[in-house]
Amino acid sequence: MDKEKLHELWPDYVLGKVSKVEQEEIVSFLEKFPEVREELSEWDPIMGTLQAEWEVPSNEMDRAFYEKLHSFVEEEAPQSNTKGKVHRLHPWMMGIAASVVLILGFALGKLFNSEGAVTENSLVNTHEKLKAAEEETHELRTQLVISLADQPSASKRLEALSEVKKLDSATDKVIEALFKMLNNDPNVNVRLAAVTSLSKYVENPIVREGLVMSITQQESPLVQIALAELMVTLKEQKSINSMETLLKKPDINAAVKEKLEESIKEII
Amino acid sequence: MNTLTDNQLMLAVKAGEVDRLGQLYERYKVWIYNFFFQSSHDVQLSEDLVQNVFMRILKYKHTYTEDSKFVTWMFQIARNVNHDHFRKNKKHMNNADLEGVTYKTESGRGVEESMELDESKRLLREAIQQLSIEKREVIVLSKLKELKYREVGAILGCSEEAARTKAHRALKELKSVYMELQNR
Repeated sequence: MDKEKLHELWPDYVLGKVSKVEQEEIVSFLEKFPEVREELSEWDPIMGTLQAEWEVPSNEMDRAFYEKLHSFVEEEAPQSNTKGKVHRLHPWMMGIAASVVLILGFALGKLFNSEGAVTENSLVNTHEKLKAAEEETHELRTQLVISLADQPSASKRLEALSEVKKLDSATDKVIEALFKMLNNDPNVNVRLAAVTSLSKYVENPIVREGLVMSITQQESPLVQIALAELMVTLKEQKSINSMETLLKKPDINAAVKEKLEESIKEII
Repeated sequence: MNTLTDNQLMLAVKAGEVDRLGQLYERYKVWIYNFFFQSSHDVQLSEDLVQNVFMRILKYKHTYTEDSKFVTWMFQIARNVNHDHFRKNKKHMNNADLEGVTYKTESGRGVEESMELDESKRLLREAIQQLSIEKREVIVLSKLKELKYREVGAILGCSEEAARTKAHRALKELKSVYMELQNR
């Protein structure tokens, strides 16, 4: 190390870009030649301020980020869900879907093609047939949901959740499939869509209870926030314990923590 | 939970596991925030620009490849966000903006020491504002201990040696401007 070399290395030193060996050489050289240190003193104010700690952003930034991420996931999921949907169905699924369409078509054809005077008896008869067709359609759609929910592909499971939207009511098996997705699915988009699907059946006390219990099982901040928001909408008192349990977790995300605290206050 | 590499996480985001971006955000939010804050000293603006960076990461996730290095790619996006903002607001930027900047007094220091520190911080902030956006960026990136000149070069689109030369020039100019301000 000499004076010239030191001057050349000094900006790297200021920026913390020298190796350990170079740093030791610099320190030792400056101890021997304090006059050189004096020459470099004009760098001191810059060095001191540049080497100050990094600033830390606010919790508000975290909250805004997770909200945006959540919105993005919600916007993306239905799009990827419907795109090219028919073409991606397996033949046997196409069969179920085609049956739904055929049964409805047959029943409607019967209704509109019936000839002659419309008697009271024929109207009752047609109504019964239509009702039976609707029930059969519902049953087939339920089967489709349950089958798709078990598929290894996340996009297929999202299709199951999309089919759920078309159901007026859900059987216990559908509810069970939805909770399986909410609590065990490896894909967060599926878990989020399951929250939305289950929110349709919150009149059912079993669904409400299942949603409350799910809060502590979730690890994704997005799902935790979605569930907290749903609990606020439902004003679900029973969720407070679950949210408090989640708050006690040492690795809880800062934005989730803030959201849960707000949610508990709103529910109380 | 956090054992996945940046590359693995970003590839998962690209494959549709969008919530994995949360882990990358937690790893790099302070870096990206300071990338903007150290040159603008505007808390709100810096936080907004951080959001823009991560939303652009989502928007352009399809362009990320297995060979990409996440930090380099992320800072390239951050630079684009910075330049876009700078271009849009160039007309409105003037020294009057600096007057709106507030400075915190660090607790635990004596008043005089705090005042001296605040004064040097204020001068440094003013000096940084007088540099070109490229010079501000190279200083902030080089200041990041975790980034070698090779990585700074990859972000800036130049060689390792060129990045070092740019950093030296920018730092020397910063020192000159600082001294001028100090002596006025």
